[in-house]
Amino acid sequence: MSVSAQGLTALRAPGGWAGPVIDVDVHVHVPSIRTLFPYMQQGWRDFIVERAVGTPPSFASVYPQNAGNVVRPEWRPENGGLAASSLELVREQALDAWAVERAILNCYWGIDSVRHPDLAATIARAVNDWLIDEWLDRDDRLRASLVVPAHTFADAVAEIERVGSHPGFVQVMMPVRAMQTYGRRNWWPVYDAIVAHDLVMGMTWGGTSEGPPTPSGWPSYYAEEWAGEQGVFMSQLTSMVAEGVFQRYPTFRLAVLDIGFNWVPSLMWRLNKEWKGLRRTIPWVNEPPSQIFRDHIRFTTAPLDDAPPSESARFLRWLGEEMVMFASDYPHAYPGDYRRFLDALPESARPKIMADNARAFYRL
Amino acid sequence: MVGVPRALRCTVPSRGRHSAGPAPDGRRADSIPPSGFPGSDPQFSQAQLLDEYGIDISVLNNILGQINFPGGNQPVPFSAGLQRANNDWAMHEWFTSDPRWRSSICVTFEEPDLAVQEIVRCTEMSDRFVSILVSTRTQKPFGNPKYEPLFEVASQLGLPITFHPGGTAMNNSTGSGMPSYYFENHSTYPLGTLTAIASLIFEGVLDRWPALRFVAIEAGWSWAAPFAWRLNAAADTEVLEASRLQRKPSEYFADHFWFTTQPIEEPEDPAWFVEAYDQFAGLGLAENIMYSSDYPHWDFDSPRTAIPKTLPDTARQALFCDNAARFYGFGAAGKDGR
Amino acid sequence: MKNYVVARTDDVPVGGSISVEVNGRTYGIFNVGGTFHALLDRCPHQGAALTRGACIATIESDTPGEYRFGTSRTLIMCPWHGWEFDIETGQSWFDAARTRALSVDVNVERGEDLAAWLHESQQTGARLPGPYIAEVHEVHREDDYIVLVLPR
Repeated sequence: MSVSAQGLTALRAPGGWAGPVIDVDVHVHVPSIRTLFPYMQQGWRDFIVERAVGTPPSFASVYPQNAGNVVRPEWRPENGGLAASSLELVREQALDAWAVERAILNCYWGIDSVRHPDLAATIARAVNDWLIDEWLDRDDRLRASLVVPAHTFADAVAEIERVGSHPGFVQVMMPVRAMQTYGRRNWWPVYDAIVAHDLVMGMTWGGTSEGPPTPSGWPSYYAEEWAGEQGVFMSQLTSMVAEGVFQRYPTFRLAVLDIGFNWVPSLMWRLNKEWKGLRRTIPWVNEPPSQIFRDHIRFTTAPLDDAPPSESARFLRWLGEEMVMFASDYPHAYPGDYRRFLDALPESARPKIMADNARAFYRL
Repeated sequence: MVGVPRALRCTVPSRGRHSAGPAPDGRRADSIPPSGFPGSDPQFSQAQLLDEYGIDISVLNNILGQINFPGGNQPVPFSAGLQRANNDWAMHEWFTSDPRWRSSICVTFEEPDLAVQEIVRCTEMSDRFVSILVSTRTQKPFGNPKYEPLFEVASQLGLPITFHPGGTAMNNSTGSGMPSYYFENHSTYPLGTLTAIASLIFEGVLDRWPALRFVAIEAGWSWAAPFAWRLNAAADTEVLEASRLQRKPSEYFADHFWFTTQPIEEPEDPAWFVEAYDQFAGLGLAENIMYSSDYPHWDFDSPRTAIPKTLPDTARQALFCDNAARFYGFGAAGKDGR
Repeated sequence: MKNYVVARTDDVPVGGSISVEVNGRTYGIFNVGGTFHALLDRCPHQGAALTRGACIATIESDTPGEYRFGTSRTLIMCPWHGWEFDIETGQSWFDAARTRALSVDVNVERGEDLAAWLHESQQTGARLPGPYIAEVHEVHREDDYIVLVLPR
């Protein structure tokens, strides 16, 4: 199967999808750290120059720009610059290409790998201000995740307090790899802020944790690591369910991004089964995990993986038509033919996947 | 009724692991023999499992070595001695007690050269040692070159390698730290196997050692097809890395990965069980699923009741008997009674 | 209905249980606070003997970190997978609020019937059928004896 843009840009070709499209995961990248200088105090600009601070390291390790699936060839800027780094690029290649009603921007820039707490907070503030200035204020179709410094929870809270009320921000980006499992009570102050501002928690690809991403150490190959990242998401969802995040926060909304949905039914079934016998040990989990998933969590179409469209349709049926939202994951290059996927679905599911589920979940 | 269950655990008295099952140390509350330690008494286990269910052959997995003493954080000679003792215990107390017992070989898998010595010793001692026991949580992903000596000996001797949950304290069991609750811990069991499969494929191990076979215990199996498709997507896009492989990732599954049934999938709608099975079989895996009990643990699956009767008879026969008989070379299969 | 004298009241102390066989079926007799209850001694999940499990108190919670511990041991925990059943009603605790389908006598061996029943229950809105309910039987004491009442 070839990795082609046909799947996405063909979406709007004659015979394709003609209804509304809400794209819940459009990645944008900060061109360079200097881009953020207008949004920092002079003292921090000086610090960055003096210490030769560049792009945070996990941006390159999470999204190695020359890895096959990170940027589709036709979406690389001709001048050799960074993909998805300007509104003009993103408009032409994504927003207009599949004629979105709305798109949610996710600017993963590896802030989690900045260990210096104040530098991390400075960069996070700057990224959010840049997103407002250069993106949200310039195109009504756009909404975005706000980014937070992940290691110092109080700083994450402060940033949510600072910009969380901006109407363009609908989500707080929390990368899937974290210093602690996301169910743990230490996160409660961050969740208090997320819920107080009525934002969605966006569990995105990336992050920095204290240790390797797998229970068996560090993968050798990028393909191996990419495929196995599913396990990190599985463990984070298990943690959030087990620790009662959704009982403590009955309005909590979690979007699970950039990891598809085929794997979810198997996990739901296992969690349900485990819960029936171990309920007493986590007594606040007073309903089946599958119900918690349906009430609080949504997934995205990307990547469709190599599943035959009829099998993707089966996974969706097991999961529920309301559970999945369309995401291009621009500028990533994932295989998956969206035309064939939609054709394999019941007609009732198509508008839900392409727009209605996102409109309801994000209240767009 | 006949059948070839596996993944029975027996343990010497141990200090227990990250447990909190409904019964002492994660065992069934009704599995405590006079000696007091579930799974430690061959005759008690024989009566409660083999005789009770009419089981023809059962493979023992003694997980003491990999759960409590993972080959780290203690002297290496002690680890090696402990695994030798485990295997001698199987040989001299379990095999002699009943002809239906078989066993995995307990090894210090993080010291592969020592492990090879023990594997050879055991196979020379008895042909009832039928696989090599490894944890789902290893120091490095299991396809890493570190484990090459195990691939070699397993291939030479025709022994499968069995991944069983538990094990090393070297890595957190999740990518974001250790879980808080037993519920989480137990739910993470599939993750190590998932990691191992990706590693074995992309490190090219299965191309270099085409005879290698692996068994995934307590991992479930309904995630295998979607994960195979995910691995294919990875290979599709990471062409440089995948170009070294002889096959598409999903094509390795039928020849190299077997799955056991316990804890059996319980979808929200029972009708989905057969759909999930058909999807799994559609990947060429109808012969790659084998009944397991996990006796004497609390999440034990009874062969009478755990496997849905909605599964066709041919599938039940394969799952209960024929697949394992073929896989382990147990000889003529019996018939599936009820 | 027929009455069977199955045990002496002394045989089942408070908080305890015994297993008795009548006409080829095994029943568990439980003493909860001095009152006797009877369940088919067979977990509807995979058939474990419920009497081999522990009588336990309820644990409930509405939010992580808070616990409401019941004071009397009104539940039986299956010795295998830990499912909690209300001894009096047979209702599985994880399903307490949802199912009212007690009239369906669901036997785990009838897998096909169960699947059909589940489909039907999903159409009608009834939720979570029989496998989540242990089979309850009437039992009472007469003087020093425990009497089990069975259909035949």
